[in-house]
Amino acid sequence: MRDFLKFFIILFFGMQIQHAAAIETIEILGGKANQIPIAVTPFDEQTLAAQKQPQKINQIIENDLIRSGLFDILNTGGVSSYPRNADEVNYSNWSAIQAQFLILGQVVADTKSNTMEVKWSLVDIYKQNVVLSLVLKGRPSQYRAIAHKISDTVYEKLTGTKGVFHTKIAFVKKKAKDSYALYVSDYDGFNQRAIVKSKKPIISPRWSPNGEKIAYVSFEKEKPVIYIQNLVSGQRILLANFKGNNSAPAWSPDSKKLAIVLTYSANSQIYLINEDGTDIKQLIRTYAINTEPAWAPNGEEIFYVSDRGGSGQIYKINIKTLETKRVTYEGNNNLSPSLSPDGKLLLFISQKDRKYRVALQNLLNNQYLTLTEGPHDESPLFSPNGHMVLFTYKDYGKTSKIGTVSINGLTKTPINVGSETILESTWGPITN
Amino acid sequence: MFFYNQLENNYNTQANLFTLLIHVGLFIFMIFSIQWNMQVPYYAEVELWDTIPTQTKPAPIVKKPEPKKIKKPAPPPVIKQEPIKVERDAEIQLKKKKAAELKKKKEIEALQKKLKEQEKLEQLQKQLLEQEKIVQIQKELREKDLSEKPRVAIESNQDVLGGTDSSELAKYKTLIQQKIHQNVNKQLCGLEPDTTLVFKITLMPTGYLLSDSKMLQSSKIASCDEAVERAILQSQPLPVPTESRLFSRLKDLELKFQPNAIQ
Repeated sequence: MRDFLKFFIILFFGMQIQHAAAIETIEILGGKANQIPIAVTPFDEQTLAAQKQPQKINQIIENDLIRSGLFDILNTGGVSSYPRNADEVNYSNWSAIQAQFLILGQVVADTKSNTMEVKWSLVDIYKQNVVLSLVLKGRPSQYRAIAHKISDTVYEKLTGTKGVFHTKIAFVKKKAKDSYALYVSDYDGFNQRAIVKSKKPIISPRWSPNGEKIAYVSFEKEKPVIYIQNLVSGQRILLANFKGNNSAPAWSPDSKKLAIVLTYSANSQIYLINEDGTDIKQLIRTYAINTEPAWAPNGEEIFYVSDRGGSGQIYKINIKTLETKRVTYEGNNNLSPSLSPDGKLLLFISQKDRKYRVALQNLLNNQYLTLTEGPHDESPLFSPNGHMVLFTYKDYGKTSKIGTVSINGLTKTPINVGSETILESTWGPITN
Repeated sequence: MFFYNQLENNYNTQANLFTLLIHVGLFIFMIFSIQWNMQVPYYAEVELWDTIPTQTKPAPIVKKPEPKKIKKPAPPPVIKQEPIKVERDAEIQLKKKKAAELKKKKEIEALQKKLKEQEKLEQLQKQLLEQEKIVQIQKELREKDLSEKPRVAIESNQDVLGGTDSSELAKYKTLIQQKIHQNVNKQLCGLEPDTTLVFKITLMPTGYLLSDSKMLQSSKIASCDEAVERAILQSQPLPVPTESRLFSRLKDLELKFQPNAIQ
């Protein structure tokens, strides 16, 4: 009896071992920062009345996807015919140009009701199937918004992260010697409109995470003071006009508080204040300069710049426990911190060899990556999805401009908002 | 309870347990050992030859030596019979003659037997020599084949993998690893260092996937799962050995991905 049992046990486990040994395993560690090869066909717009659009739908989508750094836009010039709908796709034509995905569509305009309908599809060339087929309706004035909506949908489908192509930015333009204005526009610089005008400089605009307000620093009282402009009601309040300088506003993730910098007692120190200007209290008290606060998305920590170690470096402080820790070590000075929406990446300006570049640090493993070449980059801020960076740059002897760089460092694109000097900018949140 | 109540003694219990055990054993054997795949795979396994093998001359057929003609023993000398003069003498003479004839006959038979044995021995020796020669020629041919056409599979015991084979296996595993690695877009896999995905693939001898890859472990990030699956697809054809014995080891593969691991 026992022998029989032994026999079966050996037989059973023997077979298992043989079975396990039959499959070889290959481990693949890491990967590349690849760009997804995608083709965007010109949309059939024959029924649309002669438009004065500076860019066609396919060009707007292409520019959006290029800017993200995650897509390689393929030249469709060599393809003999463009499909108007997913049924007409000749897969071999598109796999011949190494496309993995294809965006195609057509615009049907109704002149009587002054509306337009965009029928579009996202096609997977590899798997030879239609990923999405949607219809968007709107007025011809929403032409660009519809194109951005297509980009957002494709982006979310293929990267798993929400697109930011429909979002807004705000920036300060120096129009003349004594003429400054705070503008709001589409994220790519189109559809600009001024919301604040001043004879004195405006700096450090910061959009609230709920999208309703913009805080900024104005010199209209002959010294820097902080205002909050309500975009919904049009009202503005004076948030901080304390003794000394009032600067560097930073919103808490819940949009209820701000961290600001005052030179109230002696040098620059960080304070917390409610968005209505009440309940101000000092957060950090040291002999060194503490400035440029940035809130972590968890709302519990504030990253900031301090020169307590001899050079400007980024530290973080826990608001409740006041526990402080140094975060950056690379380069001569590290300034202007900004946290990604998931709190895992830290963005800052790294000064090294007399150049100021946008740099990125992975807070999980402290890997460090320089995204730009400088020489004089400033004020980097994450896009609301954390995949792009908005920053100000200036070439030697030229006026400063704004642009974006993808967080993989592959795509740096200017935002064309005119020939004037752009002082600083901020990125609005994702809205639905 | 009913089952046990039926049993009368211990021997019956043992016998029933044996039956049960054998059935359980057979059941396990059928589940784990027999492939219940009813679908007939739609591919045919072929062996790819670089060049048409040169016609090797067949081993020279060694002519079987014709059996040596046995020399017929010389006919016994005819003994001149002398006329019997005396009856008694004649009788004695006859007896003597008969005895002599018998003796000679026996001698001839012995000689014939001896000759036959010798002949057999010679034949046996020749056969052995021939066999040795054939073996030698076959060996030479095989060696020639091996050096000229290394891609031709040679039948041998599958379970034994020599040093060269395991290094070849490792070489192809590295080639596959490198090709897929190039196509893994880790940007779509977040930042968590321990993100892990496991895929199972089955390859055709051409290096293309026989069927869709099967995800055994998800990264829990849809875009990452998709990116890795796409990387496998994009890497086709994968570098695989043409030697069927090595290929059979790499036909079924488990691919483990850690896109955010530091390389």
